[in-house]
Amino acid sequence: MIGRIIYIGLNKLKRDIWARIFICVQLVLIIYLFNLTIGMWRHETYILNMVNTMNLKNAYYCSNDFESFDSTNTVSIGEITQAFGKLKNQNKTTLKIKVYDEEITKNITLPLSKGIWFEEYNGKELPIILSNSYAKKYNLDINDTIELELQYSTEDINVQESFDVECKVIGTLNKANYHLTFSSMGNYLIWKNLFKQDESVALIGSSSISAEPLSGKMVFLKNLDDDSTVLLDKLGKLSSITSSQQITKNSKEVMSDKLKTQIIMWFLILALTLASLTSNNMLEKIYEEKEFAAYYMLGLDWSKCVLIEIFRGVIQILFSFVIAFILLKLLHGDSNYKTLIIDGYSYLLSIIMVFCVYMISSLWMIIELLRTNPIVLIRRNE
Amino acid sequence: MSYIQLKNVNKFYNKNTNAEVHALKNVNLEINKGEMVAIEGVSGSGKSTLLHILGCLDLKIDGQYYLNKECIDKKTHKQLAVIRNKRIGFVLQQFGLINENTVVQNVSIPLLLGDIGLKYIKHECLSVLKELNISELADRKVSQISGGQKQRVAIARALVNKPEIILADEPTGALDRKTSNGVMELLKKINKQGKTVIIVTHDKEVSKLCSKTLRIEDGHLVNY
Repeated sequence: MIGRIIYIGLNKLKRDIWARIFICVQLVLIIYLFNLTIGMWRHETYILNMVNTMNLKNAYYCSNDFESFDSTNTVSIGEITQAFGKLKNQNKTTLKIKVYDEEITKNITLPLSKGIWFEEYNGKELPIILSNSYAKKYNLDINDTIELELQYSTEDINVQESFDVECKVIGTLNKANYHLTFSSMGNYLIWKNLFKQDESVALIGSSSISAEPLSGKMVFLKNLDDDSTVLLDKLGKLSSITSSQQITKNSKEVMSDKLKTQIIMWFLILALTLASLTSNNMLEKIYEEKEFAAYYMLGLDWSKCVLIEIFRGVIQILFSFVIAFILLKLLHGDSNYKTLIIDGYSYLLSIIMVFCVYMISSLWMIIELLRTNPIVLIRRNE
Repeated sequence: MSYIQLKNVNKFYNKNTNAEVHALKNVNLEINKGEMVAIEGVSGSGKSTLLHILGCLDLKIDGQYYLNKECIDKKTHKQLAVIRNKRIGFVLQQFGLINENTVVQNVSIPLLLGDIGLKYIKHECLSVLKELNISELADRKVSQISGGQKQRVAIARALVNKPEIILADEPTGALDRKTSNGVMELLKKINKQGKTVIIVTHDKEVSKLCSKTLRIEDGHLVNY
């Protein structure tokens, strides 16, 4: 019987092909818009989710650099230095190199798509983690050894130092290419100020490379006790200090403002979907009711009529989805993970959303079929 | 026992509400196999309700319905759908055809909903259209044919699955006298082939052509 339902459903689709094409155009636009909105929102929440997995409860960001500070057993201070690197003797894109010291690599683990974090590495060569895009672009994989020509400015900005290092690729960042970096920023600190995206970045885990230090430090408390409170007070006098909890709070505030705008957009998209599909179903009502009533009279029970309607909906939704998928890939493939995140979950969510709305828009017709005698429906719609 | 039997059938709409309608009142009915029966009644008398019950379209009734000694009123929706498909053919005043489809597509619906192989369907349809002398209409869209032709197509659709019973609801209601006579002749021919034909009508001329006439008044079956 399923075969017959598919056969009837396909015949119904074939009959009003132009009307179906216009419905598909509406669905394509809706799936496209929905994915775009969801993708933008997921990109916004990505950093916060990433930070949540890092367990940065006792981490603080100090905005100003300070010459020295007596670290004790209760506190450790992490620094990042910066250099530029080129693959030796190869004319390839210059890499921005971030050198994480031991305290950073010990307390912060960035999400990787492949390989291991610095803390797990115990080889002799200098470990390097490449950005996902760079590794893909130049076909570099974990366990590859690369020779880098490093360049950085010294304190005297006019003097450039350079030297060659051999590094072992131990991992690649995940698709979003987020990495920790410090840059000058205001007092209202959010995680987006600290975690940046870059397609041509590489991280080196080393405390022995003295490249150009970035202004700012991360302070990690080992225990939250009286000693550490005193130390934080001391640090507060040297620099503007913000706790990770405060940064999270700020980030959530910024996101909640954005969410308010996006909720309106989501609502509009849903309303648009529902209105367009319902209006279409209303226009088709006369034909559909009569046709299903005829099928019922001639030996099809209502559940199968509903199945035909669902099948027809599924075909249209899937067809529209394929077109929307191609459009999203063509128009936003390059932006994926840079300004928005569209992946399997977004696609699935958009299909479920459109399917639910499609079914809701068909529901009243199904209810009408269930509660009215088919001959009455035929008479009414003749 | 008769081929079709209704025992003490009552039908209510909106039961136990202020809008309750008692559409059929204690109806007892017996129709033998091969009979051609007219059910007469004015508008609102309950004749259409009776037809819906006989056609297994609405069996929310009080009372019993037996079809060939089989109790029908307790069947599931799925079983009733099979009965409608295999044992009953419907002919309606409004034809109930899908105007955007061709004649052969319309006639094929009961076969499509049954279990006959797809490759035999067209052949079966063409043979019934030939029998009714309308095979030349096979590939025409229903919207392009006349009312009389539409009713013949509806009869072809009713016959294609070789049912035992033909239920006709005002089959000549939308046709002129000449075309009506043609349709009635066709129904008589079908009846002579051994099929039970039940016609709901308010047209005395139609009733005269039937072997038995039942009258329904305000939900009661009279002169039975």
